[in-house]
Amino acid sequence: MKKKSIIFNGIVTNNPTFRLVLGTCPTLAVTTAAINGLAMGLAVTFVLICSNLIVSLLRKLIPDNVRIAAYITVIATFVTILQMVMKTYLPDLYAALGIFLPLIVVNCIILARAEAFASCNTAIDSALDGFATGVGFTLSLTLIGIIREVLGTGRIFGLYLGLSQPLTVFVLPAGGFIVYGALMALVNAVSSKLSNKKLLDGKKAVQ
Amino acid sequence: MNSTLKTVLVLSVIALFAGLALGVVYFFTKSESSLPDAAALNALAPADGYVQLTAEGATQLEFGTLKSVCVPVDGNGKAVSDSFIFLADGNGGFSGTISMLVLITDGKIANVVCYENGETPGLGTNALTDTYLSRYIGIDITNDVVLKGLAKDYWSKPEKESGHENDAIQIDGYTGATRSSTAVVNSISTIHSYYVSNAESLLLQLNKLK
Repeated sequence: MKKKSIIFNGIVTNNPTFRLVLGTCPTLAVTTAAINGLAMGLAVTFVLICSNLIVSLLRKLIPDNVRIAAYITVIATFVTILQMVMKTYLPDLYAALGIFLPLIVVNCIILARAEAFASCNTAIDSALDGFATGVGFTLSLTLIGIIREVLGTGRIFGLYLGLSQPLTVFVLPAGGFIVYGALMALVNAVSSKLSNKKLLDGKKAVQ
Repeated sequence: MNSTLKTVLVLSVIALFAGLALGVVYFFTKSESSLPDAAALNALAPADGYVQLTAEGATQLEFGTLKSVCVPVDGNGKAVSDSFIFLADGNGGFSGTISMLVLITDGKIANVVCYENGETPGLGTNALTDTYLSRYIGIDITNDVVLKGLAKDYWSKPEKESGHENDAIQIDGYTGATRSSTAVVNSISTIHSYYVSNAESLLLQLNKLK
């Protein structure tokens, strides 16, 4: 598979948040502030790259009937490593992400990429796919985080913007759903317009 | 049979390497200082910083374990008062030990907060309310009548065996949570016993910081 298309797939075509709708729980829970969304995204990216790499290297060794157990062990190892490192060096972010950091173990994006991609592709391609999917997840989470933080608290990455009355509802769970839904609608509208255009172009070319 | 063996072997090897990797990372990231959490310390005794003291002597005592001792310091790292902060686990809680953080100033208990506990919210935690804990404030830390530890089966033994019929007159607080309050008493009692037997070493270390 071409490297370019892997990256494009991970970030745009198969964007985990807006196209595959995977990992919704941490997406809604931690994006109350942009920095939390960014940190969660980077954490998942790290685990995705490492687990995809290892799973891909071990893909011929792991017996088919226990592959999920093997994947989970690999993923859990990297998540625990990440947890220990974050607890020591980034205690504030560690506290902000709370339970959603250890829950990366059962994040369906990571398991999905291990099962669907890493288990049948080469190590370099798999690591690249992990990176691209992670970047897609990070960008989506940061975007949701920025919108919720700006509307909900009048700040961006903790910097005060001097806006008028913030709408507290946006940092609450309800606001998370609203922003997520609105963004998903937007992404769907844009992508259907693009695919329509492609169809039309195709027809024109045929004619 | 062969494939089963292979399955077991592969999973074991993966788990072995996972464990090894975790061990290495743990070795490099484990925290060097065993100071209690800064937020809890600040709630107990606001200060610019805290300096850990070496806990000499036995820390595993009859009614609990002394976890750490530190002193509050100002911005220049100097101790400003005769204060110690103790963290101790008290035996006998309903689910595990209860950790209490105690500030001792001039030999008297100046503040008490719960550091960690696994007690049932609304039931066992009745022994951790401010109203109850504030009863400890002002008690002389060397007072071995009030700060006496209680054995695990203290309240379940017949009165004559454990001797608690004689203690009836000493009850001056009621929490409704027998085992949780026992663990609180034991934690503070541990600090009391440790302080009594190691006061010299502690004061010596404190004076060095002045």
